This record gives sequence, structure tokens and C-alpha cells, in this order.
Amino acid sequence: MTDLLRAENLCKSFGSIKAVNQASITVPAGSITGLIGPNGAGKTTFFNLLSNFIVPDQGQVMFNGQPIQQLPPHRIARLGMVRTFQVAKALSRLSVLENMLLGAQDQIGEKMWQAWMPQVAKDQKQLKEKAMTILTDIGMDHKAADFAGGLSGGQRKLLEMGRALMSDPKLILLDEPAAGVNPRLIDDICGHIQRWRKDGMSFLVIEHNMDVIMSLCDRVWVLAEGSNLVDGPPAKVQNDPQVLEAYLGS
Amino acid sequence: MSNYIVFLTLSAATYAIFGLGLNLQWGYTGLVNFGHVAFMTVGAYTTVLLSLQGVPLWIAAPIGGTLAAFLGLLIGLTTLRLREDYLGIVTIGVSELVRITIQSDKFTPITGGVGGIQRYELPLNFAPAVPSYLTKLGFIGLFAAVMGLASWRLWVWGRKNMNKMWQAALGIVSFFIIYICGAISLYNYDDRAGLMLLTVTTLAIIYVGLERLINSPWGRVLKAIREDEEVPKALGKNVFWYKLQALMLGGGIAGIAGAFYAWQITSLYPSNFEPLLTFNAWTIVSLGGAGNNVGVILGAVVFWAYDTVTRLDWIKSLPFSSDQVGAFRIMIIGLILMVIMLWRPQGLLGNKDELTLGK
Ligand SMILES: Nc1ncnc2c1ncn2[C@@H]1O[C@H](COP(=O)(O)OP(=O)(O)OP(=O)(O)O)[C@@H](O)[C@H]1O
Ligand SMILES: [Mg+2]
Repeated sequence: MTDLLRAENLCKSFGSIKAVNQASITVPAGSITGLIGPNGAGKTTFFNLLSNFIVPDQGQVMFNGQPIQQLPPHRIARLGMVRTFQVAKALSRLSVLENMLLGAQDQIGEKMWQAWMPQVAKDQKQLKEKAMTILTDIGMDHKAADFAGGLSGGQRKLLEMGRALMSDPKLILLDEPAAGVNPRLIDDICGHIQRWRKDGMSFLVIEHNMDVIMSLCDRVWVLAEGSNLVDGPPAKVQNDPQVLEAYLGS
Repeated sequence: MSNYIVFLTLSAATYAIFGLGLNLQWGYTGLVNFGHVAFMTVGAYTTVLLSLQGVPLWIAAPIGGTLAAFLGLLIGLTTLRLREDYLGIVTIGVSELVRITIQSDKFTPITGGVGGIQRYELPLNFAPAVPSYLTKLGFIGLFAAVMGLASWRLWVWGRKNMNKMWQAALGIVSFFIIYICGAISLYNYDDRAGLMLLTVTTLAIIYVGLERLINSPWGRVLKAIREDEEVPKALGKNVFWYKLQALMLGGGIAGIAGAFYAWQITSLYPSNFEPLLTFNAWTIVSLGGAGNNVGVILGAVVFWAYDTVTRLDWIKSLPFSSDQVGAFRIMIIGLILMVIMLWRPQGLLGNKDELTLGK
């Protein structure tokens, strides 16, 4: 498999804190790759560096064979790498459906001068159908017309994932997708992620829930104090003494 | 009576256009613009100065709007990448800078400085001739079309929200009164009546255009930026560029409002463009409900109804000096705003449900 994403030696300090220190990762195309580590290990910061929401102090990021660390975040998203947020961000005063529609790329009418074009309505109708299909998948179709601000924490996480899917990405970065989601739904979501992967999407998943990591991931990377600790197949990583120590020691 | 209604309609329509520009920036995109009057100043002076050079008004006013949009571009390019509160500070500064530049000695030969500009061309001004009957009929017909269309939209809206039916009815009745008074004035033609027709028609066109934009995917991105700009950024939208467009378009609309303002006041002084106008625009937008274009128009009407009523003769019978009355009028506006913020923080037409939503 070719590498869809390869990041090398990323560093970021906040004052004297080295949040991410020489961390690297590779995500093969078509894989579900896990990123784990104790609280404060630097996982979320690492996502921010990959997507350029925070500019790294140093390091390289290649996506789909192209260096991206110089690109603004929206350009990275347009290339097909979409990130989600650990604290899910719902657009409160937009409906759930509008939230979903925002995710679609290259919509007719996204440019000011296209707003009057007659094709807008048709394009939007198709996108709405697509959005409803995804909402049904994640068990949120009955909420489509509600304001997103009224969603629960778990529902917001689901909405965020659905919104990212609307953009037909090559790679989705999920920051703790299972946090705050009820166990039955977690199983469902894992099922959907597997299916989306079969459709050709790749995932990089931060998760504290080890069941999710074990059932989903092809390979797991462990971050501790901003640096790579070990990486390998989930079963191996789970029993690695270094990993156990990092978790217990923190 | 009909003169009074024409004046009220003219003032409210001009301020409604002005407020719609701010509403696009603040109500829909969340951009804090505390110097809205700067765009209006640029629009007003450009239009008038060009018309003095013999440029036809229908070309001069759009150029005024374009230059105002260009001011938005300059402000946006320098501040939009910074933290959002910078925009607020810079816009205050720019609006004062524009006014002070215009009244400075250096530019007096062009702008008239503090002495202002007194005589300039007004639109649809036939004096001393009178327009033909056919022209007048055409005007009255156009006015009927605009007011009729507005009433029809209100009617459709009232039908959709049955509990709002009486509000729609009230609106339609006021449109009818405005229409009758306007038609009488257009029949006894003077340039005020013509200007009112032009302003109301322009307001209608701008309103329809804005509604279309706001409900398009483009408008959705603006609203997303208002809610949390990280989200559209993560989904591939060029947030900076969208903000710039909103700032420019809102500024351009305020520039157009500036042309109408200049035609309404008939002589132009820098003191017509005090920061108070920005405050008025914010009052109107908050009154009607940020992020609601109909609300902004209603806000402008309420604002001007209040303003004119408190300038009528009955005020003079009160035992206050005119200075006291002036201060009092502004105090009451502040008080009304406070009451609205407490009781209806979503504005007169805003949706209460939206406010109880968490981030
Ligand atoms: N903007 C910031 N300013 C200063 N320090 C920060 C900032 N963001 C993160 N940090 C610090 O960087 C370290 C890594 O934080 P990060 O959020 O990346 O951890 P994490 O691995 O995602 O943890 P968790 O599993 O709890 O989400 C922490 O010590 C945190 O306090
Ligand atoms: Mg985190």
C-alpha cells in the first residue's frame, strides 16, 4: 500500500511545553490507523499540525504525494484531508441538515455570482438526499430539521463525522469519535467506518476507547509526551510494556 | 399628512439600505463593524462629486458604492487576518479618518471642507418643469408594483405562519397607507416624491438580492463563519475570502445608501457623517433582529417613526429646553434598546429559539 499521509519530525512548543516533539506518522491508503497516548500526550496538537490549524515549528507533511505543510487549512481540506474536533463544533443556529450541507465541496452557488444560477436548486436537492442518507446511517435523520445547537454532546460528535463525510474526503482525521457516544451506537459507528473504508476512504483515529482501537485499526501509533513511543498492530501495541508504563505512569 | 409619510418612508428606506449592509456583515457573518458610516461617507461624497463633474447620477451612485466596497477591501486586507476585535477598532478609526480627511484644509478645494457642498443634482428632479401625466402614471404604477410585491410576500409569509397572520395584516395595511400617500405625492409631483420612489425601489431590489444570496450555499458559508469559523475552514472554505466579500458587499450597499442620503439632505457637510450614524445602524439592526433582513427594514421604520414623532410640535409644549429634549431622545433610544435586550434579545422579528441554543 502507498502512503496517503506521511508526517515526519513534527515539532510544536507552546512556550516551554514541547507539546509535540519530533513526532512522525504514516497512514497507508485505505487503512484505518490509530493514534493513542495518555492525556496531554499531544495527539490533538498533532492533528492541528497535520491540518495546519497550528503551524508546526518544524517538520514535513506529505499528503497524497504532495507536500502540504505550506498550504492553508482550507486548501488541505480541499485536497481531501478533513479533520474533526475533539470538542465537537456544531453550528448552533443552523439546522442539522444545513450543517451537513456545508460539508459538500464545489457546490454550485458557493461563489457569490453563482447564487442566481438555476442549477443551484437541483444541486442542493441532490446534496440534501446525500446528506439524508448519511444522517440515516448515523441515526440522526430524525434530527435533520432541528437546530444543531440543541444536540447532545454525543449527537454533535456524530454530526461532525457526517459533515466531514459530506466532503467525500480521502482521509478523515477523527479526534475521539466515540467519546460520549453510547456503547450500542459506538458499535454501529465502527461498522460504518469499516464500510466507508471499503468504499475507499482512509481514517486516522485518536481514541481512548481500546475496544474501538482494537476492532478498527490496522496499525496503531503511540504518542507519549509529544514523541513516538511505539507503533505496530493493535494486539502487539496493547501488550507492549513501554505503552503500559506510559499509561500507568501518567 | 402625505408629506409626512413620504418623508418617513424616504428616511426609513435609506436607513434600511444602510442597515442591510451592516446586517450582512454583522448579522450574517459576525463581523464587528463599528465604522459603518465610513462606507456611507465614501458613497455620498463620490456620488455628489462625480455628479458635479457632469457624470450622470445613475453612473455616479454605483461608482460610489464600488468605492465604498473598495474601502471594505482595504480594511479587510489589513485586519481580517488578525483577531476579530481588531476589525471593530480599525473600523471606528477609519470612519473618523474619512470624515476628518474630507473636512481637512487640504481637501477643501475638492470636498468643500466644513463649508460643505450646497447645490448638486438630484435624481428625478424635473423642476422647474413638471413631468408629463404619462410619466407620473408610470411612477405611480411602479410604486404600486413595488408595494404590491411587498404586500404579496408578507401575505405568503403570513399564510405560512398562521400565528403571524395579524402581523402580516398590519404590515399590508401600512403598505397600503404608504402607497396611497406616496401616490398622492407622486401625482402632485415634487422631487421628494420621486426620490422616495427611487429609494423604495432600490431597497426592494437590494432586499430581494440579499435574500437570494443569504439562502444560497454562499450565504450558508457566511452563517457558518458567524457560528464558528473553524468549521468552514476545516471543510475547505476560504474563510478569509468570504469575510472579505461580506465586508465589501455590505460596505458597497452602505455606499449606495450614502448616495440616497446625500440626495435626501440636499446639501452635504462632514458633520452629516458623525459616528452617531453608525450607532443608528446598530440600533436598527438590533431592534429588528440581527440576521433578519425583514427585521432590519422594520427596525428602520420603527426608528424613524420614533424620531419624527419626538420632533413634532407637542414636544415643544413640554417644560424642557431643546437641548434637554435632544439628550432625552437619545436616552430613550438607549432605554428602548436595553428593554429589548432584556425582553426580546433576538429583536422584534428574531427567532427566540435560536437564543437558547448553546455554542
Ligand atoms: N494552545 C495551547 N497553548 C498552550 N499549551 C497547549 C495548547 N494546546 C495544547 N497545549 C498543551 O500541549 C499538551 C498536549 O495537548 P493535547 O491537547 O495535544 O493532548 P492530547 O493528547 O490530545 O490529550 P487528550 O487525550 O486529553 O485529548 C498539553 O500539555 C496541553 O496543555
Ligand atoms: Mg486531545
